[in-house]
Amino acid sequence: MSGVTAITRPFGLLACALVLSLLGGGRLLAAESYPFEMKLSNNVLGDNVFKGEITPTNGRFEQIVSSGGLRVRLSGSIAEDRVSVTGELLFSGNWRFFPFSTNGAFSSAGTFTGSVVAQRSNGQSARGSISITRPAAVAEALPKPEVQTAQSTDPKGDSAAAGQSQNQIQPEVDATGQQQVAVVVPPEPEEPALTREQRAAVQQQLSVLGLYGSAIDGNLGLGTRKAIRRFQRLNKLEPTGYLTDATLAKLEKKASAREQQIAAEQAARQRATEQQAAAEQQAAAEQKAADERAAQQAAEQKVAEERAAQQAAAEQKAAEERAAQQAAAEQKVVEERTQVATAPAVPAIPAELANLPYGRYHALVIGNNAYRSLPKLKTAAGDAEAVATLLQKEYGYDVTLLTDASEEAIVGAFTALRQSLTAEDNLLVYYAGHGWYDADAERGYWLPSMPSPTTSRTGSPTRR
Amino acid sequence: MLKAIKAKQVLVVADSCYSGTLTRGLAIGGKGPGYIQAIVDQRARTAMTSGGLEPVADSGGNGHSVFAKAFLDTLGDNTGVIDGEGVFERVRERVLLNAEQTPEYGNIRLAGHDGGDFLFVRKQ
Repeated sequence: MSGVTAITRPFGLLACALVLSLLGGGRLLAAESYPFEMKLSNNVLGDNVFKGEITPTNGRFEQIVSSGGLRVRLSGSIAEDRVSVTGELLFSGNWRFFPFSTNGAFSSAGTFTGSVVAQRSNGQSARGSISITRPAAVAEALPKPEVQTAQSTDPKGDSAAAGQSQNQIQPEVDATGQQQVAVVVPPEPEEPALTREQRAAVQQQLSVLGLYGSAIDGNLGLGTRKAIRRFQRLNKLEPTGYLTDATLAKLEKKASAREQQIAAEQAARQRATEQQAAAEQQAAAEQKAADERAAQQAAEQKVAEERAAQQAAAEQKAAEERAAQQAAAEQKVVEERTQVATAPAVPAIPAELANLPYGRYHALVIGNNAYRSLPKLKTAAGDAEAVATLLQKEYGYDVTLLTDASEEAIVGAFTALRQSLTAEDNLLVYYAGHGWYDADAERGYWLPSMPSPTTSRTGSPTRR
Repeated sequence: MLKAIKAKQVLVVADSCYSGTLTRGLAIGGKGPGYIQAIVDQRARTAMTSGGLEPVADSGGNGHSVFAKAFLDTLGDNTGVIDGEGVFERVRERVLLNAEQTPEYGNIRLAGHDGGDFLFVRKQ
Protein backbone atom coordinates (compact mmCIF):
# COMPACT_ATOMS: atom_id res chain seq x y z
CA MET A 1 0.00 0.00 0.00
CA SER A 2 1.14 3.48 -0.54
CA GLY A 3 0.67 6.59 1.49
CA VAL A 4 0.55 10.01 0.05
CA THR A 5 1.68 13.12 1.72
CA ALA A 6 0.94 16.32 -0.02
CA ILE A 7 3.32 19.12 0.68
CA THR A 8 3.83 22.57 -0.54
CA ARG A 9 7.44 23.34 -1.07
CA PRO A 10 7.96 26.58 0.85
CA PHE A 11 7.00 24.91 4.05
CA GLY A 12 7.77 27.77 6.39
CA LEU A 13 5.98 30.16 4.16
CA LEU A 14 2.96 27.92 4.11
CA ALA A 15 2.81 27.84 7.89
CA CYS A 16 3.23 31.59 7.98
CA ALA A 17 0.56 32.07 5.39
CA LEU A 18 -1.74 29.78 7.32
CA VAL A 19 -1.40 31.90 10.43
CA LEU A 20 -1.84 35.08 8.47
CA SER A 21 -4.83 33.67 6.76
CA LEU A 22 -6.41 32.70 10.01
CA LEU A 23 -5.78 36.13 11.40
CA GLY A 24 -6.85 37.83 8.21
CA GLY A 25 -9.98 35.89 7.74
CA GLY A 26 -8.79 33.68 4.83
CA ARG A 27 -10.63 30.55 4.11
CA LEU A 28 -9.19 27.28 5.30
CA LEU A 29 -10.03 24.70 2.72
CA ALA A 30 -9.43 21.10 2.08
CA ALA A 31 -8.38 20.96 -1.55
CA GLU A 32 -10.21 18.89 -4.10
CA SER A 33 -8.45 15.58 -4.47
CA TYR A 34 -7.79 13.69 -7.66
CA PRO A 35 -7.32 9.98 -7.03
CA PHE A 36 -4.46 8.50 -8.95
CA GLU A 37 -2.71 5.21 -9.47
CA MET A 38 0.78 4.91 -10.87
CA LYS A 39 2.53 1.71 -11.79
CA LEU A 40 6.28 1.62 -12.21
CA SER A 41 8.30 -1.46 -13.02
CA ASN A 42 11.99 -2.14 -13.38
CA ASN A 43 14.09 -5.28 -13.26
CA VAL A 44 15.86 -3.99 -10.20
CA LEU A 45 13.12 -1.99 -8.56
CA GLY A 46 10.50 -4.61 -9.19
CA ASP A 47 6.83 -3.80 -9.64
CA ASN A 48 5.61 -0.80 -7.73
CA VAL A 49 2.15 0.59 -7.46
CA PHE A 50 1.60 4.06 -6.11
CA LYS A 51 -1.91 4.97 -5.04
CA GLY A 52 -3.20 8.15 -3.55
CA GLU A 53 -4.67 11.48 -4.31
CA ILE A 54 -3.33 14.52 -5.97
CA THR A 55 -4.37 17.69 -4.28
CA PRO A 56 -3.65 20.71 -6.41
CA THR A 57 -3.49 24.24 -5.17
CA ASN A 58 -4.42 26.89 -7.65
CA GLY A 59 -4.29 24.18 -10.26
CA ARG A 60 -0.78 23.06 -9.40
CA PHE A 61 0.54 20.32 -7.26
CA GLU A 62 3.81 19.02 -6.00
CA GLN A 63 3.97 16.07 -3.68
CA ILE A 64 5.99 13.03 -2.87
CA VAL A 65 4.39 9.65 -3.16
CA SER A 66 5.90 6.42 -1.99
CA SER A 67 5.50 2.72 -2.52
CA GLY A 68 7.49 0.59 -0.18
CA GLY A 69 10.87 2.30 -0.02
CA LEU A 70 10.56 3.88 -3.42
CA ARG A 71 9.68 7.54 -3.48
CA VAL A 72 8.61 9.66 -6.39
CA ARG A 73 8.16 13.38 -6.50
CA LEU A 74 5.10 14.20 -8.53
CA SER A 75 4.42 17.70 -9.72
CA GLY A 76 2.38 19.28 -12.43
CA SER A 77 -0.79 21.05 -13.17
CA ILE A 78 -4.41 20.09 -13.37
CA ALA A 79 -6.90 22.19 -15.19
CA GLU A 80 -10.55 21.35 -15.64
CA ASP A 81 -9.90 19.12 -18.59
CA ARG A 82 -6.17 18.69 -18.88
CA VAL A 83 -3.43 17.29 -16.77
CA SER A 84 0.30 17.52 -16.96
CA VAL A 85 2.49 15.40 -14.68
CA THR A 86 6.20 15.33 -14.10
CA GLY A 87 7.73 12.67 -11.91
CA GLU A 88 11.17 12.17 -10.45
CA LEU A 89 12.37 9.05 -8.72
CA LEU A 90 14.19 9.96 -5.52
CA PHE A 91 17.24 8.05 -4.48
CA SER A 92 19.92 8.96 -2.03
CA GLY A 93 22.60 6.89 -3.63
CA ASN A 94 24.06 6.63 -7.09
CA TRP A 95 20.79 5.61 -8.62
CA ARG A 96 19.80 8.18 -11.07
CA PHE A 97 16.66 8.32 -13.21
CA PHE A 98 15.85 11.15 -15.47
CA PRO A 99 12.51 12.82 -14.71
CA PHE A 100 9.57 11.59 -16.70
CA SER A 101 6.60 13.54 -17.80
CA THR A 102 3.27 12.95 -19.39
CA ASN A 103 0.27 15.02 -20.18
CA GLY A 104 -3.10 14.79 -21.79
CA ALA A 105 -6.75 15.45 -21.40
CA PHE A 106 -9.28 13.93 -19.09
CA SER A 107 -11.53 11.64 -20.95
CA SER A 108 -15.20 12.26 -21.07
CA ALA A 109 -15.44 9.86 -18.17
CA GLY A 110 -13.06 12.11 -16.27
CA THR A 111 -9.99 9.88 -16.40
CA PHE A 112 -6.52 10.67 -17.63
CA THR A 113 -4.09 7.87 -18.40
CA GLY A 114 -0.52 8.43 -19.49
CA SER A 115 2.50 6.23 -19.93
CA VAL A 116 5.52 6.64 -17.69
CA VAL A 117 9.04 6.07 -18.88
CA ALA A 118 11.84 7.03 -16.51
CA GLN A 119 15.11 6.61 -18.31
CA ARG A 120 18.36 5.85 -16.57
CA SER A 121 21.67 7.22 -17.67
CA ASN A 122 22.87 3.68 -18.39
CA GLY A 123 20.10 3.13 -20.89
CA GLN A 124 17.83 1.13 -18.63
CA SER A 125 14.47 2.51 -17.66
CA ALA A 126 11.57 2.12 -15.33
CA ARG A 127 8.27 1.94 -17.13
CA GLY A 128 4.67 2.05 -16.20
CA SER A 129 1.61 4.19 -16.37
CA ILE A 130 -0.31 6.71 -14.38
CA SER A 131 -4.02 7.29 -14.29
CA ILE A 132 -5.71 10.25 -12.64
CA THR A 133 -9.41 10.51 -12.04
CA ARG A 134 -11.15 13.84 -11.95
CA PRO A 135 -13.59 14.07 -9.09
CA ALA A 136 -17.15 14.27 -10.24
CA ALA A 137 -17.60 17.42 -8.18
CA VAL A 138 -14.98 19.20 -10.26
CA ALA A 139 -16.53 18.21 -13.51
CA GLU A 140 -19.90 19.27 -12.37
CA ALA A 141 -18.56 22.52 -11.08
CA LEU A 142 -17.25 23.52 -14.47
CA PRO A 143 -19.91 25.82 -15.81
CA LYS A 144 -18.52 26.39 -19.17
CA PRO A 145 -20.53 29.49 -19.93
CA GLU A 146 -19.08 31.13 -16.82
CA VAL A 147 -15.62 30.30 -17.93
CA GLN A 148 -16.35 31.79 -21.27
CA THR A 149 -17.62 34.91 -19.61
CA ALA A 150 -14.58 35.14 -17.39
CA GLN A 151 -12.40 34.89 -20.40
CA SER A 152 -14.30 37.35 -22.41
CA THR A 153 -11.55 39.90 -22.39
CA ASP A 154 -9.22 37.25 -23.68
CA PRO A 155 -10.95 35.33 -26.39
CA LYS A 156 -7.94 33.24 -27.34
CA GLY A 157 -6.58 32.62 -23.89
CA ASP A 158 -7.74 29.70 -21.92
CA SER A 159 -4.58 29.61 -19.92
CA ALA A 160 -6.15 31.67 -17.21
CA ALA A 161 -8.64 28.92 -16.76
CA ALA A 162 -6.27 27.08 -14.45
CA GLY A 163 -6.35 30.05 -12.16
CA GLN A 164 -10.07 30.28 -12.55
CA SER A 165 -10.54 26.66 -11.81
CA GLN A 166 -9.04 27.20 -8.41
CA ASN A 167 -12.04 29.31 -7.64
CA GLN A 168 -14.25 26.36 -8.31
CA ILE A 169 -12.67 24.15 -5.70
CA GLN A 170 -15.04 23.62 -2.91
CA PRO A 171 -14.07 23.35 0.68
CA GLU A 172 -13.85 19.78 1.69
CA VAL A 173 -12.21 17.92 4.43
CA ASP A 174 -10.87 14.53 3.64
CA ALA A 175 -12.80 12.00 5.52
CA THR A 176 -9.88 9.67 6.12
CA GLY A 177 -7.84 12.36 7.86
CA GLN A 178 -4.74 10.49 6.88
CA GLN A 179 -4.10 12.44 3.71
CA GLN A 180 -5.64 15.58 5.04
CA VAL A 181 -3.85 18.58 3.75
CA ALA A 182 -4.28 22.11 4.90
CA VAL A 183 -4.15 24.53 2.04
CA VAL A 184 -4.46 28.26 2.25
CA VAL A 185 -6.63 29.67 -0.40
CA PRO A 186 -6.27 33.42 -0.54
CA PRO A 187 -9.26 35.69 -0.76
CA GLU A 188 -10.62 35.88 -4.21
CA PRO A 189 -8.37 38.32 -5.98
CA GLU A 190 -9.68 41.45 -7.53
CA GLU A 191 -7.39 41.77 -10.48
CA PRO A 192 -7.42 45.09 -12.27
CA ALA A 193 -8.65 44.88 -15.80
CA LEU A 194 -5.60 44.90 -18.02
CA THR A 195 -5.32 45.15 -21.74
CA ARG A 196 -3.40 42.48 -23.59
CA GLU A 197 -0.57 44.92 -24.04
CA GLN A 198 -0.51 45.59 -20.32
CA ARG A 199 -0.45 41.88 -19.56
CA ALA A 200 2.34 41.43 -22.05
CA ALA A 201 4.14 44.25 -20.30
CA VAL A 202 3.74 42.37 -17.01
CA GLN A 203 5.26 39.28 -18.58
CA GLN A 204 8.06 41.40 -19.97
CA GLN A 205 8.73 42.87 -16.55
CA LEU A 206 8.73 39.42 -14.97
CA SER A 207 11.08 38.26 -17.69
CA VAL A 208 13.38 41.17 -17.01
CA LEU A 209 13.45 40.15 -13.38
CA GLY A 210 14.41 36.63 -14.34
CA LEU A 211 11.16 35.13 -13.02
CA TYR A 212 9.47 34.30 -16.29
CA GLY A 213 10.97 32.58 -19.26
CA SER A 214 8.04 31.77 -21.54
CA ALA A 215 6.45 33.61 -24.38
CA ILE A 216 5.41 37.24 -24.00
CA ASP A 217 1.92 36.59 -25.27
CA GLY A 218 -0.28 38.60 -22.97
CA ASN A 219 -1.92 35.43 -21.66
CA LEU A 220 -1.71 35.20 -17.91
CA GLY A 221 -1.46 31.43 -17.79
CA LEU A 222 -0.02 29.09 -15.21
CA GLY A 223 3.57 30.09 -15.92
CA THR A 224 2.76 33.73 -15.58
CA ARG A 225 0.79 33.16 -12.40
CA LYS A 226 3.65 31.22 -10.93
CA ALA A 227 6.04 33.99 -11.86
CA ILE A 228 3.75 36.55 -10.28
CA ARG A 229 3.59 34.49 -7.09
CA ARG A 230 7.34 34.26 -6.94
CA PHE A 231 7.62 37.96 -7.45
CA GLN A 232 5.10 38.58 -4.73
CA ARG A 233 6.93 36.31 -2.31
CA LEU A 234 10.26 37.92 -3.05
CA ASN A 235 8.78 41.34 -2.43
CA LYS A 236 6.83 40.45 0.64
CA LEU A 237 3.50 40.77 -1.09
CA GLU A 238 0.75 38.30 -0.63
CA PRO A 239 1.65 35.45 -3.04
CA THR A 240 -1.68 35.09 -4.71
CA GLY A 241 -0.44 34.94 -8.25
CA TYR A 242 -2.89 37.65 -9.10
CA LEU A 243 -2.06 41.14 -10.00
CA THR A 244 -2.89 43.90 -7.58
CA ASP A 245 -2.19 47.59 -7.86
CA ALA A 246 0.58 47.15 -5.29
CA THR A 247 2.02 44.22 -7.23
CA LEU A 248 1.85 46.11 -10.49
CA ALA A 249 3.51 49.18 -8.99
CA LYS A 250 6.21 47.12 -7.34
CA LEU A 251 6.69 45.10 -10.48
CA GLU A 252 7.09 48.20 -12.60
CA LYS A 253 9.50 49.73 -10.11
CA LYS A 254 11.57 46.62 -9.75
CA ALA A 255 11.61 45.89 -13.46
CA SER A 256 12.55 49.45 -14.21
CA ALA A 257 15.38 49.32 -11.69
CA ARG A 258 16.45 46.01 -13.07
CA GLU A 259 16.38 47.36 -16.59
CA GLN A 260 18.48 50.29 -15.53
CA GLN A 261 20.82 47.92 -13.79
CA ILE A 262 20.99 45.75 -16.86
CA ALA A 263 21.57 48.81 -19.00
CA ALA A 264 24.29 49.95 -16.61
CA GLU A 265 25.85 46.53 -16.68
CA GLN A 266 25.61 46.50 -20.41
CA ALA A 267 27.17 49.93 -20.57
CA ALA A 268 29.86 48.74 -18.19
CA ARG A 269 30.43 45.70 -20.33
CA GLN A 270 30.47 47.91 -23.36
CA ARG A 271 33.00 50.19 -21.69
CA ALA A 272 35.01 47.17 -20.60
CA THR A 273 34.85 45.82 -24.12
CA GLU A 274 35.90 49.16 -25.50
CA GLN A 275 38.68 49.43 -22.95
CA GLN A 276 39.74 45.91 -23.74
CA ALA A 277 39.62 46.72 -27.42
CA ALA A 278 41.63 49.86 -26.75
CA ALA A 279 44.05 47.88 -24.64
CA GLU A 280 44.31 45.26 -27.34
CA GLN A 281 44.78 47.99 -29.88
CA GLN A 282 47.48 49.52 -27.75
CA ALA A 283 49.02 46.12 -27.17
CA ALA A 284 48.88 45.49 -30.88
CA ALA A 285 50.50 48.85 -31.49
CA GLU A 286 53.15 48.08 -28.91
CA GLN A 287 53.61 44.65 -30.39
CA LYS A 288 53.94 46.22 -33.79
CA ALA A 289 56.45 48.71 -32.42
CA ALA A 290 58.29 45.89 -30.72
CA ASP A 291 58.24 43.91 -33.94
CA GLU A 292 59.55 46.90 -35.80
CA ARG A 293 62.25 47.37 -33.21
CA ALA A 294 63.08 43.69 -33.43
CA ALA A 295 63.13 43.93 -37.20
CA GLN A 296 65.35 46.98 -36.94
CA GLN A 297 67.58 45.19 -34.50
CA ALA A 298 67.66 42.20 -36.79
CA ALA A 299 68.54 44.50 -39.67
CA GLU A 300 71.24 46.15 -37.60
CA GLN A 301 72.40 42.76 -36.50
CA LYS A 302 72.53 41.67 -40.11
CA VAL A 303 74.43 44.80 -41.05
CA ALA A 304 76.79 44.22 -38.15
CA GLU A 305 77.24 40.60 -39.17
CA GLU A 306 77.86 41.59 -42.74
CA ARG A 307 80.29 44.21 -41.53
CA ALA A 308 81.95 41.61 -39.31
CA ALA A 309 82.00 39.16 -42.20
CA GLN A 310 83.53 41.80 -44.46
CA GLN A 311 86.03 42.68 -41.76
CA ALA A 312 86.77 39.02 -41.20
CA ALA A 313 87.15 38.53 -44.93
CA ALA A 314 89.41 41.57 -45.12
CA GLU A 315 91.43 40.34 -42.17
CA GLN A 316 91.53 36.91 -43.70
CA LYS A 317 92.71 38.40 -46.96
CA ALA A 318 95.25 40.56 -45.17
CA ALA A 319 96.41 37.55 -43.18
CA GLU A 320 96.68 35.53 -46.36
CA GLU A 321 98.58 38.35 -48.00
CA ARG A 322 100.85 38.62 -45.01
CA ALA A 323 101.28 34.87 -45.01
CA ALA A 324 101.95 34.95 -48.73
CA GLN A 325 104.42 37.77 -48.28
CA GLN A 326 106.04 35.96 -45.41
CA ALA A 327 106.09 32.74 -47.38
CA ALA A 328 107.56 34.60 -50.32
CA ALA A 329 110.13 36.21 -48.05
CA GLU A 330 110.94 32.87 -46.50
CA GLN A 331 111.07 31.33 -49.93
CA LYS A 332 113.43 34.10 -50.92
CA VAL A 333 115.55 33.45 -47.86
CA VAL A 334 115.55 29.76 -48.64
CA GLU A 335 116.44 30.48 -52.23
CA GLU A 336 119.17 32.85 -51.14
CA ARG A 337 120.47 30.28 -48.73
CA THR A 338 120.24 27.64 -51.40
CA GLN A 339 122.09 29.94 -53.72
CA VAL A 340 124.68 30.56 -51.04
CA ALA A 341 124.93 26.86 -50.38
CA THR A 342 124.81 25.55 -53.88
CA ALA A 343 125.99 28.22 -56.23
CA PRO A 344 129.68 27.53 -55.90
CA ALA A 345 129.16 23.78 -55.47
CA VAL A 346 127.52 23.03 -58.75
CA PRO A 347 130.21 23.52 -61.34
CA ALA A 348 130.92 20.34 -63.20
CA ILE A 349 134.53 19.37 -63.42
CA PRO A 350 136.25 21.58 -65.95
CA ALA A 351 138.47 19.91 -68.46
CA GLU A 352 141.65 21.21 -66.85
CA LEU A 353 140.63 19.56 -63.54
CA ALA A 354 139.28 16.34 -64.97
CA ASN A 355 142.50 14.53 -65.45
CA LEU A 356 144.58 15.69 -62.53
CA PRO A 357 146.43 13.04 -60.53
CA TYR A 358 144.03 12.91 -57.54
CA GLY A 359 144.99 9.37 -56.59
CA ARG A 360 142.71 6.75 -55.04
CA TYR A 361 140.34 7.61 -52.27
CA HIS A 362 139.80 5.55 -49.17
CA ALA A 363 137.47 6.15 -46.30
CA LEU A 364 137.22 4.81 -42.79
CA VAL A 365 133.74 5.62 -41.51
CA ILE A 366 132.99 4.99 -37.85
CA GLY A 367 129.62 5.40 -36.20
CA ASN A 368 129.03 4.55 -32.57
CA ASN A 369 125.57 4.71 -31.08
CA ALA A 370 125.88 2.24 -28.27
CA TYR A 371 127.85 3.10 -25.16
CA ARG A 372 127.78 1.31 -21.85
CA SER A 373 128.52 4.22 -19.57
CA LEU A 374 127.64 7.20 -21.70
CA PRO A 375 124.32 8.33 -23.08
CA LYS A 376 123.36 6.39 -26.17
CA LEU A 377 123.27 8.32 -29.41
CA LYS A 378 120.49 8.16 -31.89
CA THR A 379 122.03 9.03 -35.23
CA ALA A 380 125.75 8.30 -35.15
CA ALA A 381 125.60 4.85 -36.74
CA GLY A 382 123.01 6.00 -39.30
CA ASP A 383 125.09 9.04 -40.13
CA ALA A 384 128.12 6.84 -40.71
CA GLU A 385 126.19 4.51 -42.97
CA ALA A 386 124.82 7.42 -45.04
CA VAL A 387 128.27 8.99 -45.38
CA ALA A 388 129.76 5.65 -46.34
CA THR A 389 127.14 5.11 -49.00
CA LEU A 390 127.52 8.60 -50.41
CA LEU A 391 131.30 8.39 -50.61
CA GLN A 392 131.20 5.00 -52.21
CA LYS A 393 128.55 5.67 -54.81
CA GLU A 394 129.09 9.32 -55.68
CA TYR A 395 132.80 9.74 -55.08
CA GLY A 396 134.15 6.28 -55.83
CA TYR A 397 135.66 5.72 -52.39
CA ASP A 398 136.92 2.45 -51.08
CA VAL A 399 135.01 2.51 -47.80
CA THR A 400 135.58 0.70 -44.55
CA LEU A 401 132.51 1.10 -42.36
CA LEU A 402 132.60 0.41 -38.64
CA THR A 403 129.48 0.80 -36.54
CA ASP A 404 129.42 0.38 -32.76
CA ALA A 405 133.00 -0.59 -33.13
CA SER A 406 135.35 -1.64 -30.37
CA GLU A 407 138.76 -0.14 -29.83
CA GLU A 408 140.35 -3.22 -31.31
CA ALA A 409 138.25 -2.94 -34.44
CA ILE A 410 139.15 0.72 -34.86
CA VAL A 411 142.84 0.13 -34.24
CA GLY A 412 142.76 -2.83 -36.56
CA ALA A 413 141.17 -0.75 -39.30
CA PHE A 414 143.78 1.98 -38.91
CA THR A 415 146.55 -0.58 -38.95
CA ALA A 416 145.26 -2.07 -42.16
CA LEU A 417 145.03 1.37 -43.76
CA ARG A 418 148.51 2.26 -42.62
CA GLN A 419 149.86 -0.83 -44.25
CA SER A 420 147.94 -0.50 -47.49
CA LEU A 421 147.89 3.17 -48.28
CA THR A 422 150.60 4.74 -50.37
CA ALA A 423 151.53 8.32 -51.18
CA GLU A 424 149.16 8.18 -54.11
CA ASP A 425 146.20 7.48 -51.81
CA ASN A 426 143.96 9.79 -49.91
CA LEU A 427 142.13 8.96 -46.73
CA LEU A 428 138.99 10.36 -45.26
CA VAL A 429 138.23 9.43 -41.70
CA TYR A 430 134.67 10.09 -40.60
CA TYR A 431 133.81 9.61 -36.96
CA ALA A 432 130.43 9.90 -35.34
CA GLY A 433 130.23 9.21 -31.62
CA HIS A 434 131.23 10.46 -28.22
CA GLY A 435 134.49 12.32 -27.90
CA TRP A 436 136.72 13.02 -25.01
CA TYR A 437 138.57 16.19 -24.25
CA ASP A 438 141.81 15.93 -22.31
CA ALA A 439 142.29 19.39 -20.91
CA ASP A 440 145.87 18.80 -19.81
CA ALA A 441 147.05 17.56 -23.15
CA GLU A 442 144.79 19.84 -25.10
CA ARG A 443 143.83 16.73 -26.98
CA GLY A 444 140.49 15.40 -27.86
CA TYR A 445 139.91 11.71 -28.09
CA TRP A 446 137.35 9.53 -29.63
CA LEU A 447 135.83 6.96 -27.41
CA PRO A 448 135.41 3.52 -28.87
CA SER A 449 132.01 2.06 -28.42
CA MET A 450 133.32 -0.87 -26.39
CA PRO A 451 136.65 -0.15 -24.79
CA SER A 452 138.81 -3.20 -24.19
CA PRO A 453 139.04 -4.43 -20.60
CA THR A 454 142.56 -3.11 -20.15
CA THR A 455 141.65 0.37 -21.23
CA SER A 456 138.36 0.88 -19.47
CA ARG A 457 137.67 3.87 -17.31
CA THR A 458 139.95 6.58 -18.62
CA GLY A 459 140.38 4.32 -21.52
CA SER A 460 143.23 4.00 -23.87
CA PRO A 461 141.76 6.40 -26.36
CA THR A 462 142.41 6.03 -29.96
CA ARG A 463 144.75 8.83 -30.80
CA ARG A 464 144.75 10.47 -34.06
CA MET B 1 148.65 7.56 -35.91
CA LEU B 2 147.78 9.88 -38.80
CA LYS B 3 151.44 10.75 -39.13
CA ALA B 4 152.26 7.15 -39.70
CA ILE B 5 149.84 6.85 -42.55
CA LYS B 6 151.53 7.35 -45.84
CA ALA B 7 148.50 8.74 -47.62
CA LYS B 8 148.89 11.94 -49.56
CA GLN B 9 145.92 13.77 -48.22
CA VAL B 10 144.03 12.91 -45.07
CA LEU B 11 140.84 14.51 -43.88
CA VAL B 12 139.43 13.67 -40.52
CA VAL B 13 135.81 14.55 -40.12
CA ALA B 14 134.60 14.34 -36.56
CA ASP B 15 131.02 14.69 -35.58
CA SER B 16 131.40 14.20 -31.87
CA CYS B 17 131.47 15.82 -28.52
CA TYR B 18 134.68 17.61 -27.63
CA SER B 19 135.99 17.31 -31.14
CA GLY B 20 137.04 20.92 -31.16
CA THR B 21 140.63 20.31 -30.25
CA LEU B 22 141.26 18.56 -33.45
CA THR B 23 141.82 21.77 -35.30
CA ARG B 24 143.49 24.99 -34.54
CA GLY B 25 144.46 28.03 -36.46
CA LEU B 26 143.57 27.33 -40.07
CA ALA B 27 143.99 30.42 -42.17
CA ILE B 28 141.69 30.38 -45.14
CA GLY B 29 143.30 32.20 -47.99
CA GLY B 30 142.08 33.25 -51.39
CA LYS B 31 141.98 30.68 -54.12
CA GLY B 32 143.11 31.46 -57.58
CA PRO B 33 142.20 29.63 -60.79
CA GLY B 34 145.07 27.20 -60.53
CA TYR B 35 144.43 26.42 -56.88
CA ILE B 36 143.23 22.85 -57.36
CA GLN B 37 146.05 22.15 -59.78
CA ALA B 38 148.50 23.60 -57.29
CA ILE B 39 147.43 21.52 -54.33
CA VAL B 40 146.52 18.27 -55.96
CA ASP B 41 149.97 16.85 -55.29
CA GLN B 42 150.52 18.43 -51.90
CA ARG B 43 150.25 16.49 -48.70
CA ALA B 44 147.48 17.51 -46.45
CA ARG B 45 146.33 16.59 -42.97
CA THR B 46 143.17 18.45 -42.19
CA ALA B 47 140.24 17.96 -39.90
CA MET B 48 136.65 19.13 -39.79
CA THR B 49 134.83 19.11 -36.49
CA SER B 50 131.17 19.55 -35.80
CA GLY B 51 130.96 21.99 -32.94
CA GLY B 52 134.06 23.06 -31.20
CA LEU B 53 134.01 21.97 -27.60
CA GLU B 54 130.30 21.92 -27.16
CA PRO B 55 128.26 18.74 -27.25
CA VAL B 56 126.82 18.13 -30.66
CA ALA B 57 123.12 18.46 -31.21
CA ASP B 58 121.86 15.05 -32.14
CA SER B 59 118.75 14.33 -34.18
CA GLY B 60 118.49 17.90 -35.41
CA GLY B 61 118.93 17.04 -39.07
CA ASN B 62 115.94 15.03 -40.17
CA GLY B 63 117.10 11.64 -38.92
CA HIS B 64 120.76 12.64 -39.01
CA SER B 65 122.70 14.90 -36.74
CA VAL B 66 122.71 18.50 -37.85
CA PHE B 67 126.33 18.25 -38.86
CA ALA B 68 125.96 14.97 -40.72
CA LYS B 69 122.98 16.31 -42.61
CA ALA B 70 124.97 19.38 -43.67
CA PHE B 71 127.93 17.23 -44.67
CA LEU B 72 125.82 14.85 -46.72
CA ASP B 73 123.90 17.67 -48.41
CA THR B 74 127.05 19.51 -49.32
CA LEU B 75 128.70 16.50 -50.87
CA GLY B 76 125.44 15.61 -52.59
CA ASP B 77 125.21 19.09 -54.10
CA ASN B 78 128.77 19.03 -55.36
CA THR B 79 129.10 17.97 -58.97
CA GLY B 80 132.71 18.72 -59.58
CA VAL B 81 135.88 19.12 -57.56
CA ILE B 82 135.70 20.86 -54.21
CA ASP B 83 138.35 21.15 -51.55
CA GLY B 84 137.88 20.52 -47.85
CA GLU B 85 137.67 24.19 -47.14
CA GLY B 86 134.85 24.63 -49.66
CA VAL B 87 132.96 21.77 -48.09
CA PHE B 88 133.52 23.28 -44.67
CA GLU B 89 132.16 26.66 -45.67
CA ARG B 90 128.93 25.15 -46.85
CA VAL B 91 128.63 22.75 -43.91
CA ARG B 92 129.26 25.56 -41.44
CA GLU B 93 126.61 27.69 -43.15
CA ARG B 94 124.04 24.98 -42.82
CA VAL B 95 124.91 24.03 -39.25
CA LEU B 96 124.92 27.61 -38.04
CA LEU B 97 121.42 28.09 -39.42
CA ASN B 98 120.08 25.02 -37.68
CA ALA B 99 121.91 24.52 -34.42
CA GLU B 100 123.72 26.18 -31.57
CA GLN B 101 127.07 24.86 -32.63
CA THR B 102 129.98 26.10 -34.72
CA PRO B 103 131.87 23.68 -36.92
CA GLU B 104 135.59 24.20 -37.28
CA TYR B 105 138.12 23.25 -39.90
CA GLY B 106 141.86 23.30 -39.93
CA ASN B 107 145.06 21.46 -40.37
CA ILE B 108 146.18 18.89 -37.89
CA ARG B 109 149.24 19.79 -35.96
CA LEU B 110 152.19 17.51 -35.96
CA ALA B 111 150.65 15.23 -38.54
CA GLY B 112 152.63 16.02 -41.68
CA HIS B 113 150.45 18.75 -43.18
CA ASP B 114 152.12 20.49 -46.09
CA GLY B 115 149.84 23.35 -47.04
CA GLY B 116 147.51 21.43 -49.33
CA ASP B 117 143.86 20.51 -48.84
CA PHE B 118 141.73 17.44 -49.15
CA LEU B 119 139.88 17.30 -52.44
CA PHE B 120 136.47 15.83 -53.16
CA VAL B 121 136.10 14.72 -56.76
CA ARG B 122 132.57 13.82 -57.82
CA LYS B 123 132.31 10.65 -59.85
CA GLN B 124 131.69 11.63 -63.45
